Amino acid sequence: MSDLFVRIFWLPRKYSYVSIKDEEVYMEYKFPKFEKIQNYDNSRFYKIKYLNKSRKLYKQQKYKESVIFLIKYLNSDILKNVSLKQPSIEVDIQHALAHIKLNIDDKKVHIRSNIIKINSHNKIVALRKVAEFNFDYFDFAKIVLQDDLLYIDFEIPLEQAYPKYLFYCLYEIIYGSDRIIAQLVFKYNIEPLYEIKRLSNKEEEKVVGYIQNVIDEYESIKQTFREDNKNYYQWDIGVISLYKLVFCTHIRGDLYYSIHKTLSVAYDRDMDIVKKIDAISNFFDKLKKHHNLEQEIYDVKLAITEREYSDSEIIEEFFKDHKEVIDDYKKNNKNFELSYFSVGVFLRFLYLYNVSKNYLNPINKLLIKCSNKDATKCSKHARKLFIKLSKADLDSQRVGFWVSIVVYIILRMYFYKG
Amino acid sequence: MDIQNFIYKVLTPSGSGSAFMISGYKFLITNYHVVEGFFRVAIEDIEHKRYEAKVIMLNKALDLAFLYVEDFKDYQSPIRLNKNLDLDKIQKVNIYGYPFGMSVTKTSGIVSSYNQLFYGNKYIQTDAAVNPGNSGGAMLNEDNELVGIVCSKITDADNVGFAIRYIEFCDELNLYNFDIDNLLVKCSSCKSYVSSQEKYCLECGSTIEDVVYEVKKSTYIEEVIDGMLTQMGINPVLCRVDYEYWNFYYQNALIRIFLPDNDKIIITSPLCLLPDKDMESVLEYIVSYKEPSFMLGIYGLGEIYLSYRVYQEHLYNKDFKSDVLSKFIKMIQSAPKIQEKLMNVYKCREFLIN
Repeated sequence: MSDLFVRIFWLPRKYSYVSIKDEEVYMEYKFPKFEKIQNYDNSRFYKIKYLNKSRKLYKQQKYKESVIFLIKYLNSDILKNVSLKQPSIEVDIQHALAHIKLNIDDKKVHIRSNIIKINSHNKIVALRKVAEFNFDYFDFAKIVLQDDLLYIDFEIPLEQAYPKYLFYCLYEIIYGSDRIIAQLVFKYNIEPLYEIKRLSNKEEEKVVGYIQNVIDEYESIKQTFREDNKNYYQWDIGVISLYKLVFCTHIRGDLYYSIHKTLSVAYDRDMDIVKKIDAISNFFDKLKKHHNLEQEIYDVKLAITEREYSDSEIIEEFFKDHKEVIDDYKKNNKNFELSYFSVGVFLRFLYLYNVSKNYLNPINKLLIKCSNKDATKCSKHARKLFIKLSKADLDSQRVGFWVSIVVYIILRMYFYKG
Repeated sequence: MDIQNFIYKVLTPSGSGSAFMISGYKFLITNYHVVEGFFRVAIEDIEHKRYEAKVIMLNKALDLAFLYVEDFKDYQSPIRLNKNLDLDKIQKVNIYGYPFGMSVTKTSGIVSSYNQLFYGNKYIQTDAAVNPGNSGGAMLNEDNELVGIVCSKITDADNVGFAIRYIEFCDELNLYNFDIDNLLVKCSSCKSYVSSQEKYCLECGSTIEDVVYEVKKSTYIEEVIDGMLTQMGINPVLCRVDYEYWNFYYQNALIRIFLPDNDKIIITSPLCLLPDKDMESVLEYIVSYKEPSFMLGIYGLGEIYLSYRVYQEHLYNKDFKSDVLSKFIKMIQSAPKIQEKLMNVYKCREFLIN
């Protein structure tokens, strides 16, 4: 009893305990607010059968066909409405701000991406940023200047187009083009080559409001953790808030890549936790002061997923890496901690891997169900979902479910006839 | 004579260590573990000049090795041997070496123990800073007399370094007969030396461990790169500074070749720094550089690099290998020319590199 008294006595005045259950006092920390995660590009779910086919065709020296299947692996929609019987196949790929022209003939794969036009006013900064980007980001391609146009012009002889190599090249050109254009347009105010599709005022206001809500919630929960001497949990709410922004469909531009950058700092194994918390906090400070937030909110088409390929083995391994912490929280009755940690794990999972709706939907369901509820009470749901995701191959289970439905219908029909 | 001029960096495909020269002896002294698996290694002097060294003596039990450098004309050194040195009276010691492969350093400390027993051998223990790369370096007293040869440290502890004792080293010198034609291996059972042709000690019959004679095998990529360098008239032994990592000067341009992962090979040359003014023309030159395979880029605060990045699989395919290697050679040969142009025409600044 005396222990209990001391714990309550030392609580800062603004907090109150919620209940006394089994002689344990716990504080009410809210589960973060969630809306349905929409910007999850599962429409571009990697189909491994296309990659396998591409590899097989390459080995058979059917290089052109191998390239076609590799593109299907990236996104099977890219080649829709494209005649594959022509000697030279021309494909336009639009990925956010990047406009790529892909040409496959009997000898080579040619990739062209126009980046931006420079003028005397912005020349120095544009060339400097591009020269840095060439060194930092690209492995095989590069941006060059001719007259006033910055562009990528890349060619691979067909017989050298190993599926994995071509994947690297296409990915770095498509993704890299958007990234450098976003930086030049939104950070250095250079006119884009292609029109940016803006949202309606109403939609734009909605996204700005959403960002403001994420900032407010982050600030409020962070402050609570600071005052409660739960300093390290500022990291948890920090990364959760960053994921909430990164999964918002229309947040793009340089802001989108700044979120990625901050997330990579937040998960840097060599960095001290305090520095990581500071980096997240600095990001949100800058975001609060962002003067042209509306500029970086626009509509995009994404040609490729930014997530890595996943299969049941990769997924199992991912959850196994976090199981020890979850078990430890459970064992020590750290329920609010368990809730926050598992939300962070679920969001990281969706952020890193290209997974099907079979994984996305239960996560969405939990986030919406627990949104703004008592985090401690949500911990059992979070743990239950963690176990479900880590133990089961949900994709094959889903297939199994449909097979059993079909079998059931056939049997019903058979007996009905009988 | 400055002591640091007689301390050398030892470079092998496994990493780097230190070595030193003592007055009156025509070989360098280092640790066995520094050169383990290689019979020809590179050594680098304080001015970054490299020489090929031949391993002429190995004592695995004492962790000692001697290296002979054919190109050395003068074997004078201010580091002396005092056969009457009294270890008990030495307190302050200086350690010379190349920690982490950086430039030569001198660290000081005291002798914590003269006869610290460790795995059956007695060592000198010191609190002077000892780090990876210091192995094979010299531990001297204030009169520049050899006290020990730095060999190890306890990683989880602060300032606990060890050196082979002067006494054991002198015993070794007394027994060793200088022979530049044969690699002599110290028998671990008796005090005899066994030449590399023998499988066992002729004095005591003890078998010499195969591992002492084994050369570390190169990977396929290492063989290909070494072959290309040989084709260019460059000695690959002088270029290998770590596992799958080469660096060397081609004329005035520093060339680095390394494998960042299992898919790529990067060959890069840090050419110079951006000029202080008139930036526009140099930036235009860099971004307009159109050689399709190579790239000029900027890193950090203005370091200009020339790079060529290769998909490894292309080197494994005999149809593409020669094309890739000819581009490698072209890139290496282009580096000093572009560097000269950047410095002379665009007034770029010199890039000071360790």
